[in-house]
Amino acid sequence: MLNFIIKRLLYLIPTLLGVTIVCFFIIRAIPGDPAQVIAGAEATAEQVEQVRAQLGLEGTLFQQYIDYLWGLLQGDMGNSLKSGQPVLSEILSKLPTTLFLTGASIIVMIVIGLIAGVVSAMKPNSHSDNFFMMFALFGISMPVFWVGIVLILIFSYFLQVLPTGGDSEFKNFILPAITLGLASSAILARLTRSSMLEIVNQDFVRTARAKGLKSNKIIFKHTFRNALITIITVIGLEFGNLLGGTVITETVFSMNGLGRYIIQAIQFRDYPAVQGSILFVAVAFVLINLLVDLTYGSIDPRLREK
Amino acid sequence: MNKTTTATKFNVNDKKIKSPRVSELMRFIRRFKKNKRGVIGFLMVLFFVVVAILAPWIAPYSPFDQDAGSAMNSPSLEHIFGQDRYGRDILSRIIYGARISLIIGFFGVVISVIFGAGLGTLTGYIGGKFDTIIMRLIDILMAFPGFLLALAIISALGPGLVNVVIAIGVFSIPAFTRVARSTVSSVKNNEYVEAAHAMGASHISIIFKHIIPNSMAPIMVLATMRIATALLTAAGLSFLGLGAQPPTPEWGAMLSEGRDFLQSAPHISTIPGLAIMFVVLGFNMFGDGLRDAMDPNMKL
Amino acid sequence: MEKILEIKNLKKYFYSEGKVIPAVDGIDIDVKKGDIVGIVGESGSGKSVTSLTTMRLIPGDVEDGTILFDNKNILELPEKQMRTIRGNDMAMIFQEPMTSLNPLLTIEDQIGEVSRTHMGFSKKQAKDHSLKLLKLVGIPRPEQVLEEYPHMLSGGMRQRVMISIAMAGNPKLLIADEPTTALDVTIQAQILEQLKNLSIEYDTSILLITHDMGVVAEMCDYVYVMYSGKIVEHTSSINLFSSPKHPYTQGLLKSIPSLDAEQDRLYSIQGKAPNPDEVLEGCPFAPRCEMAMEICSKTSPPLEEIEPGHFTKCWLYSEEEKQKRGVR
Repeated sequence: MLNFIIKRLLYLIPTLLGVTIVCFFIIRAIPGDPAQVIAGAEATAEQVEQVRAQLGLEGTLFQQYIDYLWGLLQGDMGNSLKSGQPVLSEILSKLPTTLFLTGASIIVMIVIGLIAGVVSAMKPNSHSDNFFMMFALFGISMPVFWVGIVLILIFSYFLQVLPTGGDSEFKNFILPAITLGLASSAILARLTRSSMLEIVNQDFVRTARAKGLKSNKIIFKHTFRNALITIITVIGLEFGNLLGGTVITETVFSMNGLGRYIIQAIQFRDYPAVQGSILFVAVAFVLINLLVDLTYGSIDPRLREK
Repeated sequence: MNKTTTATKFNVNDKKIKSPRVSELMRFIRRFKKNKRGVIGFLMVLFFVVVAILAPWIAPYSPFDQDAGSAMNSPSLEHIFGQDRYGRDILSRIIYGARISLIIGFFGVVISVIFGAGLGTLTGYIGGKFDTIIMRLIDILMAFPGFLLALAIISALGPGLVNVVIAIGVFSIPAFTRVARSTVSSVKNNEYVEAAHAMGASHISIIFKHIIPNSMAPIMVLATMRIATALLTAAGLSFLGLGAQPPTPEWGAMLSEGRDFLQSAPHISTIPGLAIMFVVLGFNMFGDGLRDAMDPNMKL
Repeated sequence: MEKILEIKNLKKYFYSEGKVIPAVDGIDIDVKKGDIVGIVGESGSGKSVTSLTTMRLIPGDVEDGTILFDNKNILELPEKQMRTIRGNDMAMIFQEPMTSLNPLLTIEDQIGEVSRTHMGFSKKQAKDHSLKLLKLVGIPRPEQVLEEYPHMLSGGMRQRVMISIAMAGNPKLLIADEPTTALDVTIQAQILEQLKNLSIEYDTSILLITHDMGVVAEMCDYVYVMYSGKIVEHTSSINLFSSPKHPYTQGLLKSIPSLDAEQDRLYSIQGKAPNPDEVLEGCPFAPRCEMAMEICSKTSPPLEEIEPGHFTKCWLYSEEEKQKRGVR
């Protein structure tokens, strides 16, 4: 197991370097002269050079990257063009809202997704299966922002029980969490069902039935546990979709989180902020996937060996 | 004795090379027809395609003509989906919007098929170090939550429809690379590929004659499903103001425009959302149907 | 002697795309206490369906028939009661040792599950019991194996684990469906030996499903030959090998490679087993039978006792047909 963990950690290094390279190029991929574009068309030559120096766009590409990386290692993501504040501290101040939103939507996803998936798989082609799979089909087809707007219409304007936006209280998070978690719960439900059905037909489940075990044991100990390998992969991947989805959800519900910060930064052409926050989220996602991999190891003894 | 049997074997195989593929296609169509949801999905997609093509002839009004006097009117007999803040006919804008959505979805996926499946085919076929390096690069792309990758690209290239197409094209590359790679690496171990090698066929001719035709099926299924994702992503980018710019009748942008009047004129936002949902639903059901008819165990 | 299992007129049909597939079509099988009874046949003959139906591990109802196990008709038992029999009084070993064990659970857990379910053992008791079972089936270093996972074991070891699982409830009947087909020849012999010893030691009856006449010869007291969902011949092992009656059985015996006789090529029965969904008039073996007569393709022969204790389903042995051909 220890070998497995060390191997996974080593594997992380090239991926993280790659991620920083991609983020490094966000500014440098701006068509034309990035410094000129950011400084604006009317900027004087002096102003352009000032921007160039400020964003670390001087010297060879390699030298720039080394400086960028060195800065990152010291926690320096540059300063926001809009506020002049360090990007990292701005990100950290927006983070709690986004963390809370993501966490809540993960709960929505897992609860709805697993229940719908397992119940569907227990009786394929039954009414409950058809119902849940229809729900899942709509769930993966509805645009996130539209779900949010419809929920606002129903619960905020029509029933008037929940707020249309904000992020100060717990009840502010209910609609956004459902909005964000719904599509992922639908995907999870579909994959849970299909992997359960695949496992049910395996020989070892027949062995379990031949032992005369109760159906609960057969479903959870023998089937679900094996299906969990697929399910955890999906949860890990959906984490990425949830993180990406916060951008839209926070915009719809006017929440002051990292997602909305990214959009505002893009609209304002605040490149250091865009670069920093995308890097931040990507690194978070990489670390989550590492966690997923380590979870595999704890479930599947075959992986611990290799 | 041995020689003659091998010889006859080869002849038999030669004759059969064409026919199984045709009959396989027929069998596939028959199986697909039995899948009710898949057929409904196909018809939904077909409906939107026809609407998009015939837009100028079937739209009751111009999608751009403003009429300040009847701004934000609710659905009526003259305007069955109502009018937006400038008094434009929403039905006509939805009809023209089908063109934009389908074009974005289609070209976005074409980009990812060409680059993603192309790369996947090469690395699956070549294998070895090349494969390791390419897959590492793909891993890096996968480290970005998909939507964020699209945002990063848009933020560098600037907003606009063409850049949205590029962004969602890049966004789906890893999915196609992985599927193509795993299909190709299993196809290339087939006997007929080895036979082609033994008979001195070049790599290029093997890839085009044997590898690609025999690994198309999962790519087609993935492409159908990915159009759905591409449509949703593109609409999301437009909703955020990063895609189609006003007055383009793009569904996501239309929905965003209506947000300010949600309480007084909810039809302005809800109807474009329904349009997105149904076209995406169509592609998802069609994709599911294709997968089940080709191979229900396909991991997509 | 008393019978532990009595299958009477069992019919199990499957329905697929409007076709009826009579997988098992009116068979009678008896297993006496302590006996090892074989069911031999090619794949698709219905032998596996018979064994799975006996365990009630196949979904759907049977068309007709009764299965008396220990004088109870298990086809009428509610599922809850059937569960108390399965794995306990009646256990099963499957063909594929590589895939029949749960890859995520330790061997201890997988064997112990049985005694914990059926005998209410505690974790500790179950562990001791499992250890005893592993020793019983001759697994080396059993203490260690208990802690291990299936992927760490070889095929033969896994099949021994499967046998321990089956023996955990001290069953009266053990159904072994091709238990050695997936294994090396040397391991095969060891596993069969083991099964035979267990049968004697614990007075467990075994219903052995196989396609291998060699295995039958080594193991069985009594044999049923199955073809196309029907029993075509049954008698004691000794009778069957000394004087096989049905042309199908004769064909099966001729196709065993022999070390003594000098053979140019191995005999094989011509043609292919019929598809289970083909409706055939007359004897289903007729199209492949070297001795087929006119009547064979028209009417199906009855299963008759042609010698004391020897039953076969073939027109060759009917009195009328013998006279027609002038055989005395």
